[in-house]
Amino acid sequence: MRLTFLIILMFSGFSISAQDIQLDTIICGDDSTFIFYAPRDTAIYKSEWLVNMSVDTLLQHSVEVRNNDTIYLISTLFDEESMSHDTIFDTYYIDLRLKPEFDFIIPDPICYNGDSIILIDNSNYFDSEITPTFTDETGSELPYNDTLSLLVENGDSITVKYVYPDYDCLHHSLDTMFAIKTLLQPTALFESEMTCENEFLTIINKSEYINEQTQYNFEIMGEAYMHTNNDDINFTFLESLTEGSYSISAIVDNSNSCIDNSTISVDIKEVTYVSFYLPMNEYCVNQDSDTIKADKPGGTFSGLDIKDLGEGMAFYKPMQAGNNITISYSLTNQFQCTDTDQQQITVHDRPELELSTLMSEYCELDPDVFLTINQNIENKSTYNITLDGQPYDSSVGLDYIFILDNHGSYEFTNLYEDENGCRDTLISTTIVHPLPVLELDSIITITPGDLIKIGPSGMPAIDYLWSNGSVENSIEVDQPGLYSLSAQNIFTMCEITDTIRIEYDDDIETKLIEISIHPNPTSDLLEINLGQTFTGIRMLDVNGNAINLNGLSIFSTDINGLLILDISNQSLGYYYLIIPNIGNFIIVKI
Amino acid sequence: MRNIKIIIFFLSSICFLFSCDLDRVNLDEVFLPNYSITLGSLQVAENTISDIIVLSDTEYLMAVERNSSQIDLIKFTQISVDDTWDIETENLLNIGEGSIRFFDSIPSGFLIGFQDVNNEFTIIKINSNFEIENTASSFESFVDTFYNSSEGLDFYNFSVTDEGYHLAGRVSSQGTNFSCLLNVNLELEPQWFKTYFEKGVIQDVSSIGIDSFYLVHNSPVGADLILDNIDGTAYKKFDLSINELFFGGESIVSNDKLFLSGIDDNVARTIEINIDNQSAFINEIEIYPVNDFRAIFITRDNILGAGIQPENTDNYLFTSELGPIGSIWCNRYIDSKFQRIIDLEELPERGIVVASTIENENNYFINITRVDEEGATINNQFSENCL
Repeated sequence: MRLTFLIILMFSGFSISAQDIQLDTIICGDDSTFIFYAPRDTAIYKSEWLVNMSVDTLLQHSVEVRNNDTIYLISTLFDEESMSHDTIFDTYYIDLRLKPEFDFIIPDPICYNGDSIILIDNSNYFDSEITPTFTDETGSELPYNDTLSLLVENGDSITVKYVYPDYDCLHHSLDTMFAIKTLLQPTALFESEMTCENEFLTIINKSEYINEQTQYNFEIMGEAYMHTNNDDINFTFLESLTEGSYSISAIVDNSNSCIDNSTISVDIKEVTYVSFYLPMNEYCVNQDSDTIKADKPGGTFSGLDIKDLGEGMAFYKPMQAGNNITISYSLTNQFQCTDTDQQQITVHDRPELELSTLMSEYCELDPDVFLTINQNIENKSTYNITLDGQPYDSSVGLDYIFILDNHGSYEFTNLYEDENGCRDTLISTTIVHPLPVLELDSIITITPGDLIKIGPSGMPAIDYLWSNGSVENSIEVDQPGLYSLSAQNIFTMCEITDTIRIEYDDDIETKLIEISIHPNPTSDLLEINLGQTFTGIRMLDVNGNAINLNGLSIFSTDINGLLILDISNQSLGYYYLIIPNIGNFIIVKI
Repeated sequence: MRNIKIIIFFLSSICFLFSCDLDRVNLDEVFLPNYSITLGSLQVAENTISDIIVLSDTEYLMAVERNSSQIDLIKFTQISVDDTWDIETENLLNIGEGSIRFFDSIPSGFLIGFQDVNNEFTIIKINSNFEIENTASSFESFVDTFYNSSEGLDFYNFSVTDEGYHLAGRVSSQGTNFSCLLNVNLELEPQWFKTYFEKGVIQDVSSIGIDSFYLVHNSPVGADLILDNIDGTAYKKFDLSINELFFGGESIVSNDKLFLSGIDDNVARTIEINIDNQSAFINEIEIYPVNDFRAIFITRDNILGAGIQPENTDNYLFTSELGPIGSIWCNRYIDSKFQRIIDLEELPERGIVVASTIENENNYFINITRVDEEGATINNQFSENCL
């Protein structure tokens, strides 16, 4: 850039009388020339100007001054009558000071390269004797000789102050500043970490003089990659590279036309690939186990409940349940490259069997016990029961009815396998204590007034309790009833109850009445059974008249006490059957 | 000798039967109470049980179990207004809530037994001023220790002795029932307890002297009469169960005779038992069929009975005085649906009074029927001669 200062004075066409011009007068001009006009009357005087000791005959009335000159004016008065000349010499000393034309050449900013920046002063000072100055931001004067050499740091900027002082022509002065700067030039620098072929290549960015707009362009085997995020210190390439050496070209572009190039050499290391085999992908806690073998030794197995045996082998017996449990085998080779084989398995909890309602002790002949296992697959549950060490019973199913018919020591072995194949075994024991020996007569018939003693002989360690509250082994009773006796073993608390029925002898009775008359009502035959021979039997109607049947009005039973009367010919209604000493009975004829 | 007596008795009865004037007496001249009145304002429980106690010619006393189970002691007073008989009631005593089992007079007042709302048997002694004198319950605890464990007691009748009362009934023990007798002293404190037969019930009891008693024993296989004493040394059982005899639950002891009433094959029957010679004589009533019956031995040495005669869908009340053979007189009341006989009592020379229940649309009310001692009735379109 060329900077020109042209100072134009506003006195264009300025004229001054020569007589008025004083010696050494300073004239601040704006133009490069200055015209003086002859101060004499041109009608009278012929004026000639002598400049630089030569007369410009062409100039009569005015003269153009271009420099600090001493000029002369010769004024001649010609008298035609006398033909004489009168000549006047005027001498003028002119100090003509023109305004400088400022012109500075300041180079455009360029990427920093270490060189100084040259500022060129092309200004026309019109031979001014005034010396301008350049100062830096601290006010120190900079060496100046038409050019100013400035050393600006990378991406930096400095300010230069220029002063042209003219105290006589103040408006010729100039006081200004210039900004001189360089563009940030990046320095590309990268390093790479050791990378295995099963890893992503990571390049460590150590480039300098970068800014927020810096872009990084890489090229690996013809493939271009670009990263723009300056927050990333490392650049990871999400494509694996096979084993080998690679040259990666990198360009750091500060997006200000300043770039730098670099080449990165990387080595991709070989990986030893491994795998292992798991026989199952589902296991049961504390039930299943496997020895696992990898295809290449030298690695290490890891994972929950994995016991590494070395030589590429491990023993696995899960002790905790879970889903997606990972078992890994990792091998790191001489290049420190590691390969890992992972497999995920599910480990199920084993069913926790609980046998409900089974108590530790029972008594013989207690109510049946309904046992049930807290699971849900009927045909996967089995009961095996032993009694005193001998097989006693077995069944398939969740439930079992334990019938307490036999005393002894029972052992219940419950086996169960759930839907995952996980199994559990539960062994439960119980004792069925024998009942005390107690046997009462079922029934005793007594005669009213009798007092009898009932109950067994007393047994040791047995408590007795009768239904009437007696705690003796035997009691005396004289009243009919159901008497129950409970005998309880004081150690096992097993109790048995028996009942004895005391009743009066029903045969101790007297028959006061023994008669049977049926059917009644009757339409024809009437059968009378008195159990013994009776005579003098009569029938009366309601008016007391005797009824005559087949010519008889008084009847007798046979020797067995049986009498059959046919009253089919009698009128409907009530009749009295008179049986001496027995009673008067109503017979209804229908 | 015995046969002569029977013949004389029989002939006398025949003569009496043919000589009696069975025409109705003239009420205008005698003006004996004669009515059949249903107390519509006194709604009672379907199975209310009581005895009717004659306080005077015009006043009776009954314990009534209302349909709300409230038991009250009520005095019934007959009045005559403009030759029309009516009955007024007066609630004398609120006894409690429950189901009446028995109510009758005792020498010092009245005794009532009932199952209370907690199914506990309670007896209350009421004095002649109709005030509660003594109350006793919780007899199970006594029975539990004196006899055997019991789950329940129920008593249906009682008899009086000089030293207390015999309560006849049933005990539930060890899951079955036994007929039983409980003796309490005059302060109603239990003294002793006896049982008899399984699945039976002592329906009634009559005391003989201090420690002997007759028991009417009913069971599914029949009825028996039992003579017994405290220690059982007097025990005798008389079989009355032929022909499925069923007793209605009334026993009367008179000297050496015992009169029982009951129903056998829907025939009302009285049985006169001669204790001395251990014989029985049956007398049946010419009303058929009969589904409830009570009888009393009256001062004229006859038996007076009252019962219910079903006919089609109706139930009639009949009252009858029994002669040696058949009834001397018999009245039947057909204006209401009679359900049960509560009790009947004789008012010597003034007639009889019968308390019964009637049913009306599943509600039950007390009916008081008064008949003069000759069996005459007022000119009532709903009464008729049932002979």
